[in-house]
Amino acid sequence: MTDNQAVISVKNLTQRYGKGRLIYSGLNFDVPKGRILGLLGKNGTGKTTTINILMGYLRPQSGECRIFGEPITEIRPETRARIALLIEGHIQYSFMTIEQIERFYSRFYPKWNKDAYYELMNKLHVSPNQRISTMSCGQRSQVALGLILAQNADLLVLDDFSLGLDPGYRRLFVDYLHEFAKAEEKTVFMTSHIIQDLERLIDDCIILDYGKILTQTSVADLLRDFACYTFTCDTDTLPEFDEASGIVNPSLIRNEVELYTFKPREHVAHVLESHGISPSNMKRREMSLEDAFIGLTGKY
Amino acid sequence: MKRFYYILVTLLATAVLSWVLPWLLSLCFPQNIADPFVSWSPVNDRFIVSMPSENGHEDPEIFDYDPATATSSEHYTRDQRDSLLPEMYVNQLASKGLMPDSLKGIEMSMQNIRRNRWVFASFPRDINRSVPTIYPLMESMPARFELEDPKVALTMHDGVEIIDMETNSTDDVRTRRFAKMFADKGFRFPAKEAMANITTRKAYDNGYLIIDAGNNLYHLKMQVGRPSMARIELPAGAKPVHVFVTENADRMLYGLVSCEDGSLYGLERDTYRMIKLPRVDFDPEHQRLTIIKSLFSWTIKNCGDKEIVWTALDAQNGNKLLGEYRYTYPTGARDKIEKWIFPFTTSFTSDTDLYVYPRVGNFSWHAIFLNALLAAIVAFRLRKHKTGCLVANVVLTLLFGIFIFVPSLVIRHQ
Amino acid sequence: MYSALLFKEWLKTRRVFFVALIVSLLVAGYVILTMNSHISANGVNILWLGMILKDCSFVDPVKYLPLAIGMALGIAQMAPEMSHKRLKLTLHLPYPHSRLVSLMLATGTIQLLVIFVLQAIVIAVYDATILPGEMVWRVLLTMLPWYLAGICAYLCVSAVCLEGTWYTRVILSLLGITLMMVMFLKPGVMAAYNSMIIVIIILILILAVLSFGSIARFKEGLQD
Repeated sequence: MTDNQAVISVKNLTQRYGKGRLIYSGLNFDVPKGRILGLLGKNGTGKTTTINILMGYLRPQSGECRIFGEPITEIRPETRARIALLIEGHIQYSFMTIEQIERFYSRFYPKWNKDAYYELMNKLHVSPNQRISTMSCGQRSQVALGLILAQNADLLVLDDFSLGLDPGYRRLFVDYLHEFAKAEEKTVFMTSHIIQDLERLIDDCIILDYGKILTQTSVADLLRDFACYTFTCDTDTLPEFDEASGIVNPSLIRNEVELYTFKPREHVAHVLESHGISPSNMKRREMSLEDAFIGLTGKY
Repeated sequence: MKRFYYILVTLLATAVLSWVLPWLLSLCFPQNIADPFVSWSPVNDRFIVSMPSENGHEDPEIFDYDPATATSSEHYTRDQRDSLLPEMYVNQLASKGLMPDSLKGIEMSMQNIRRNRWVFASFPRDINRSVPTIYPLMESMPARFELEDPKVALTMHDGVEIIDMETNSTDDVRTRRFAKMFADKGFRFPAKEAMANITTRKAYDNGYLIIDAGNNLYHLKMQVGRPSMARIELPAGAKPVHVFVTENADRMLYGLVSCEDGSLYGLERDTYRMIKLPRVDFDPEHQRLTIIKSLFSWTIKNCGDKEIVWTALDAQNGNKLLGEYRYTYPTGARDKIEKWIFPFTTSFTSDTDLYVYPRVGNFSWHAIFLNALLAAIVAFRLRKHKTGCLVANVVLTLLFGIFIFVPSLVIRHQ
Repeated sequence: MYSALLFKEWLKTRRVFFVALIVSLLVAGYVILTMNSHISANGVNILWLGMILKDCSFVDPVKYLPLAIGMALGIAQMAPEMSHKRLKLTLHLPYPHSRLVSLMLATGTIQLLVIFVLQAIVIAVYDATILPGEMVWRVLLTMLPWYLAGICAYLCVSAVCLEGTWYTRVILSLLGITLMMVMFLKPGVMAAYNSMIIVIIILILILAVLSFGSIARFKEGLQD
């Protein structure tokens, strides 16, 4: 694999739940080296499914996925050693102790950094002989994070790291991961259902809806180009905006209208006018990544 | 790997079902039809047959059979039957005062009847089983006249060895004595078969009958701790295969000897004469044999695969053949159904042995009709699959029928 | 890597291993005590006669123990892999999957062999003091199918545990139960399975393949 090649490359990926509902069709994305990409979506949109496909635990219906240039079904053990995996719920070998699990994994990874692991463990106030099964969810997440940091992998794949964590542990996780990924120029592919944590962490995002990709862009571009407009108008109901209008998820509460769009303000004003709506006091509202996510996917 | 796994699980399930399904069918249709009871009557010189009812709960049908004319003339009640078989129902007749004092000039006292009456039975399961080649040796002439449990055992592998059970070590003195005796009698090691009745619940001990590696027959006893051995002269052409020691009240025989050609001999006590039982064709490894010897006759019941043959011999007249009665096993509901459903069956055990190993049998061409129907269903189900897959499945269903059809339906290959 | 994997399997199974070993040795002790008390009460010659003429092997208490041990070890070793789909962690290790599964199964099988061999040795050593070699050998041949059934049970349970779908787990379980029934068809008859030993060994090889199949299916995404 050359340096400018994508670490993860997904082409025309199509997947269904069994023979039933389409999860997505023709999904394409690349994760370049050194980037942190977040795969965002509501529950059931296929985030974990995508991770399972990428890690070789699920054969897709069609499409091609490569990691470090190797097809995912034929990844060599040496290549697997370059990928750190966090399973949803911070699952680890819970029958091992903190010490045993470090000793176990250290044998598999040539760049193993024992100090990184123990630095994090020292913060947990747990005994080295404590079994993982007796730890809280937050403590387990730190063990999983410590192992990922110690593995010193080139690609980190994290499935819903925030699941079951309280805000403190989430923050700790994000901070450590961000510092590690940026300092070591690691590539990260992650999912989370708590979007607010990701804003400080990810460079790029893919936002999935049921059966399709809503957007695939950098977080900076998303927050720059995707806007939320609010205005008041004298109407009881909002008209149906077609796809060409570029207006998504408009809502009306009393006389206050809120709508989202990638289009410029002039375009929005023109569309509203063509529908006989005269907005007054129209403003662009500042948005967080979470606001943008809800704006794109809707509240329901 | 996934395809290989699917094929493996399907074939494993097929093998298992070829055992389980016939077993389940046998549970649904139990076949417990008892054999008829047949005995030679010295009163009317005919076989008396007690044929059990089909369900086994009603009174048996009792009739006679004349082997000379192959006809049956009379039906009898149970009381009438008792009178026709006075040696067998001696207690019933005596209690009613109906026991004759003599029959055909022979005294019919209870003592005389009991002394001359014995039963011998041989079952394939007793022969077809793993047995140790260590033979406990009884003292035939115990000092206190009562038989005692053996304290030594005999082995006849490369040579003879007497093992003292208490110390689990060789009894050198006796081993030397026995070895000399075996050598003197020309015994060829190892022994092929040795048979004795090791029990103290008998009147006397006849010791062992032994077949050596050269198919010679020997009689061995331990008397006062010393060997007593005889090499038995065999009739021309007789090759002994199995031996049975009898210790009956009449003390007439040492035992019975079955030979490779199916003949059965009685080994006369003291004279060591081999007396052939006429018309008997006995394969101890596959057939059940029962002999009821009485004052007047031998009734020999030989159960084969398809029929039972009773042979009656005249005990008062040099074992002359009196007649034969044959009974063919009825075909039960299970057999009738089985042959239409199953192309074959697998079993791990058998009524004729005590070994466990897979045995495939009961091949039935009748099942081809069901197999063809199932193959058609398979062909319809797989009509959109590749030709190779379709053909393989159809051929396998034609061969293995329901045994592969069920797993191929149940085991998902997604 | 090899030693680390052994370490992982050992951590999962060590408790069951030690408990099974102790129980096996206790049962062996019980067999010896039973034979001893029989000898004290009736004399050694009656014990010989019982063994030679009546197929009294005195090892009946051993019969279902290997089966139970095999199942317990299989559950102890494989259930943690499937709880929370922890198998994903194992399959993500930079180690060839076929070698990984082989090593897991070999670890369990070797542990079973250690337990069974030790128990058999204890019984055989005692038997050898009171019985001739042929009888000792017959006792061992009587126990051999039970031990092999224990290994079969272990492999069946492993395949069932590693299987990702409940439907196929039920199918494999039914298959396993039926196969186990075959292993205990003629209890009490010594050395009845002599001709079956080779069949059971072939069956062991087939059952070992099932776990590889379960893993292959898991990797295809056949999971509930």
